[in-house]
Amino acid sequence: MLDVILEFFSNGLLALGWQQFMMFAIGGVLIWLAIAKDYEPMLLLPIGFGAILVNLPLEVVWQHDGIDGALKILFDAGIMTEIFPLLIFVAVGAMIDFRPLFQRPWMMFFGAAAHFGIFFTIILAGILGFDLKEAACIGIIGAADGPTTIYITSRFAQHLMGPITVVAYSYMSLVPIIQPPVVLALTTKKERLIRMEAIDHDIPSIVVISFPILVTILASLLVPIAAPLIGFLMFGNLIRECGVLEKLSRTAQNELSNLVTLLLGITVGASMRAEYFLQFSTLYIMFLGMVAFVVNSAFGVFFAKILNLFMRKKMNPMIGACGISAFPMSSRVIQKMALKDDPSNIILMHAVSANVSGQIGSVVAGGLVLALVPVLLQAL
Amino acid sequence: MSFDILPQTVTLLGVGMLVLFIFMGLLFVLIHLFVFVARKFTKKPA
Repeated sequence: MLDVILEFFSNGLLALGWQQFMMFAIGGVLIWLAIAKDYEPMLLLPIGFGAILVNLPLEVVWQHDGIDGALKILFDAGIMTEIFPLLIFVAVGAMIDFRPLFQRPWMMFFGAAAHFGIFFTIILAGILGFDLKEAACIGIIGAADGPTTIYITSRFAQHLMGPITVVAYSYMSLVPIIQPPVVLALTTKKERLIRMEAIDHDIPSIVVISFPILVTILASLLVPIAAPLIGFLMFGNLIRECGVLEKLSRTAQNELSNLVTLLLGITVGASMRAEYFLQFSTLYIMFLGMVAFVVNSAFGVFFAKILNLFMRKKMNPMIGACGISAFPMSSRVIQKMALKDDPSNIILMHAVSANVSGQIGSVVAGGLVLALVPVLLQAL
Repeated sequence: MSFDILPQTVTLLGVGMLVLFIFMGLLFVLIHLFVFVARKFTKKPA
């Protein structure tokens, strides 16, 4: 009798290996980063705790004795069906104000230029031995767009969900550390001192309301598979801008965003099972994710410098780095850098315009990857 | 090191960036056009 009881209680202990302890440590580091360093705490804390939960003895929260656990049910219902990232898009759309972009439509092109790093990283990942689908998921980390990254990974490489999501959100929170050295290395002080004319004309409300509808139709015509991504983002924006759904807009921005973020975080953490996470490929993903972020920022700056060759009124090339989707962090970082060189140089709204176009750019780039990868796999 | 999927990845880079720029260009034109038309038909306050 005593033997049976002892065996029962030792089952859990015996199921632990060094891999589980390693994952507890990684989960602990993520929680520490969230609490002590304030790095994306809303995501890194649930992800860290989810990583600990799923690596507990016998993986009861995932699957035990053939019965799905709570986290697997959430994973299947929210990530595999792509519902969580799409709901996050509704919330993000409700938070975006496109007016600064309407006032400076040429900033739209930075949303394209600053996504070069995605495709460049896909090439690099392919050379390092990842297959095309895996490489595509790794490259999309550079978009600095968590929901798009999760959406694409859930379709192309579910086994890499844990490392890719953790790397994506970690680097997104590290934008204030990653971008300044890249921008400093690529610009001269003279360029960083360039002032940009303030533009503040009214945008008719019909434009602001119609924009999300038109973008959805246009994007879906060009890249049909991107319809859910762009559609949910623009639906959130339409709720915000229509002027008659104030309550829903606030709900999307607060309650919906908080609730889905909470579930998304712990569910993504649950994809960090030791056997999938503790691989050499995780180190490669960390390296490639960094490359994607750096190249995206660098190419944005290069693009601004190229445009400056042809423009009468020069623009501050730092703006180019804001073409990524990390909104509004990237624009704040660039404004801070401008103020460092000249305390009266305000380029925030220009930076915000580029940053907002980056939001659209990342979703469309994600849609393009989704559409082109299967075609290329068949064709070549 | 593997260069097996290089043709696919390079094609993805070329086509991806091209379509991305075309899309952003279309939006650029659309916004300009839309703001222009909306201004023309919106009554200014007296």
